[in-house]
Amino acid sequence: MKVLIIGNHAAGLTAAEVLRKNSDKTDITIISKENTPPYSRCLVSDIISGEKNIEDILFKDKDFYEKNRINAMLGKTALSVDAENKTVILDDKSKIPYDNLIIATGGDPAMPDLPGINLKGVFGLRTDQDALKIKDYLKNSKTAVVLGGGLVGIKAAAALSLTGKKVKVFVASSGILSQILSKDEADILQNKLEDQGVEFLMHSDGKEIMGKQKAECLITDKGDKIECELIIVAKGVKANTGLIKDTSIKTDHGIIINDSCMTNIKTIYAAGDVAQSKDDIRNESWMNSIWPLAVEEGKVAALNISGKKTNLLERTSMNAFHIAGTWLVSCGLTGLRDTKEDTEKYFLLDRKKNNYKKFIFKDNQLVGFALIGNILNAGVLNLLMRKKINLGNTKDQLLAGKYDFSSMIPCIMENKERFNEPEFREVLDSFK
Amino acid sequence: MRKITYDRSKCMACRSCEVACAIEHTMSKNLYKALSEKDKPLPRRHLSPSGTACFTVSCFHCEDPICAEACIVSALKKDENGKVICDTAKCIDCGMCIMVCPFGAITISETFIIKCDMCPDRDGSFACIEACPTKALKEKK
Repeated sequence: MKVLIIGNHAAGLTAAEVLRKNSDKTDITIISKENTPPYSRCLVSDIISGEKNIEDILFKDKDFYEKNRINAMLGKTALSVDAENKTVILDDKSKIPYDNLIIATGGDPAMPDLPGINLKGVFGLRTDQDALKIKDYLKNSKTAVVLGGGLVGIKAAAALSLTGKKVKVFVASSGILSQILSKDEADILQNKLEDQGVEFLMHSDGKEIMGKQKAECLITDKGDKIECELIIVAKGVKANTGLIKDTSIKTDHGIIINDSCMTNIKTIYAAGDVAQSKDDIRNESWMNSIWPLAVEEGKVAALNISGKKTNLLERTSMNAFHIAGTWLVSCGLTGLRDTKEDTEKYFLLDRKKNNYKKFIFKDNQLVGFALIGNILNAGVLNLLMRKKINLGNTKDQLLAGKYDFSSMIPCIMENKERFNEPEFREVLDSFK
Repeated sequence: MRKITYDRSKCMACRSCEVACAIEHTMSKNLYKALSEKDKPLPRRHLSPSGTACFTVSCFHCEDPICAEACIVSALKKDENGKVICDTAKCIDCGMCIMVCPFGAITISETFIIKCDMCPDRDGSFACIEACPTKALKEKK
């Protein structure tokens, strides 16, 4: 069997690894437009700050392809998929046949249609090469502007501030990270970043970038003129779906996949940031561009191709990071626009210890939570949320900050049928 | 794979396992000396009451470790012996594994995460098992 994987990051590499683990015979090929060894995308901002270099963010061992007998075609772009003839056409016009295809092409920074967006000094940030270019350009810059207050923008801003440059972040909404945080959490994090030297301009956006050949200043939507030499555009990511435009594969914001990561064409799977699947907490199809889901989708696609029928686990949005000296975890319906009338919200703030917790419940189920400062046992909350446990009296326990695994055992006992993993069985057996 | 089992009916909740685990993971491996070490002794096993009895949790070294899937730097891996280990040199302390571990078995220090490593400095024995006075903790062979 010949499996072709397009994409050389979390989803694609996991798929390749799992395919090999399940069969010695499968012919595995990875195609990637990037001509660099696999690195962790989440860490590219650390290159800008100089905290890490390329070697430090490599994600797989040097002999990964050799050890797993993977044919790696790096530096080649897959232009189109011919689903009828089961081939992929590359930029060098070559045609690569497949029996099963996994599309894990990820996304590219969405570049808004601003005058001056193509000037020198304006960058998107996604790849290691983007980060290296920014780091190099930064040498001759005094002020950097970041357009966008999402995770990429915030991480870039934090990294830029560590280099001692002036950093201004333009955030279109009322709070940073509005996809995953509501205003209260966003403000706590914003204060911490401000302490680190990052300046935020809320409800603001760029309208035009001016300069001769290279960026010299940004005109804001309020008409202000901000002098800056470097601009990072972090206005979201658009899924790389261009290669399937001639096929009948269904897309929305990304490629639509089912619980087995299959598209509407049986031999074609998709995984990672290019894929769109059901969010079990939202109960609708959603783009959750997060690392754990990319890995999970890569794995599930590979298992199904290997003949082991597997479905994705319960899934929803979840993020964790350590930034500006604090830890933050946010899972489920925690975004600025996720506020619904049918949900109850509780906040706990311990100023002394710098701890913040938010719980969101719907019909006695946990549907979202955010922790800042102390993030321990976040996985236990995540478990209760993803398994859709009816909390009953346990809700009060959560609100008292008591949600270690042992305290949740009664809840698990009452919902035994949802806990089939061997480790949970072991726990349940000890209570027989 | 080697496994530590726990018999709740024998547990007195004395926390000897926690203390022994914390000491095992210090430079001196001695309670009194450890208290003056730069890094505070931290246990990889945590005991807490549950209803009328108690329960102790440390890493289960899961068959399909969700923490390793979530690790963005591939610091967490299941090794050939089935142990889930963390390469602390690679760990960036981002908290992704803590976000997904359903047992809360991973905790944190200033620079990297802390979890059961099955006592790599010992000659095949486990500190928590050795310290358990009632044999509630045992190795399943």
